[in-house]
Amino acid sequence: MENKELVEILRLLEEAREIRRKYADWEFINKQPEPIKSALIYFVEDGDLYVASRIAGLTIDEMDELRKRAKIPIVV
Amino acid sequence: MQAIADTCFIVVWSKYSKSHILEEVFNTIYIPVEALQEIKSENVRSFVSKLLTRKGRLYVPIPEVYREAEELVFKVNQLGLGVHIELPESICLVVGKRRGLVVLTENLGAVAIPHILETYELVQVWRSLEIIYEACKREILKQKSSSTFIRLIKEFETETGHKFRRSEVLKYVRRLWDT
Repeated sequence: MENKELVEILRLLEEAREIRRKYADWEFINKQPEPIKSALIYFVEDGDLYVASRIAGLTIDEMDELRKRAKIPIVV
Repeated sequence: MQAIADTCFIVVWSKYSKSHILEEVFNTIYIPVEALQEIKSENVRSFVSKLLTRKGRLYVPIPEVYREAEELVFKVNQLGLGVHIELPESICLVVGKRRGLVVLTENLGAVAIPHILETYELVQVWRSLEIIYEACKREILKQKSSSTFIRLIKEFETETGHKFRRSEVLKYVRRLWDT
């Protein structure tokens, strides 16, 4: 793989993280009990709904509802 | 054109008012059996059920697929690039490669794989944006101008809780109108 392509992918991943951080409702997130709070923070930082749902102990559709309530966008 | 969708993708599209375009863009959409275990809500179950009665097909991975998918998860991590994928999207990528299916995902790690692994460079990985673009290109969704296309994208963002990069949206605007 060309170095340029890798740099672009890493840039996109970082940009997506910044967008999730910016739009997230931190007041809502910080009020949540554990492990929901940790799962939402993980989703903000990583963007992986599957892993976030495992942390929360929820199914993926339940986790998706929760991240919408927390105003965390999916950025792809 | 045939596709395989991961669970996150299915959950997101169950919320979209124009989800019917999926069945017009693709002849068949495979849904991995594990996806059903990840869906509790009535709306998403109903969406999947309707899809399965029409163009959707349940996909049950064979042991070789699980093995290859597990290897792919480790291979990506071993690259140490800061990109990772998990087993559900890895299964879709493996099946996409073996069967020539378009992989439908909302996971940036999965989107990156054809760009970072030569063995996956021919796999087509589509996000929601590519599907909406394809539907407009084929006039399944008729758009008069770039501004109606942008409104369409905003509608998707609002209904599903997405944010598309403006540069990505503009790339598809140019492809549709700057010919």
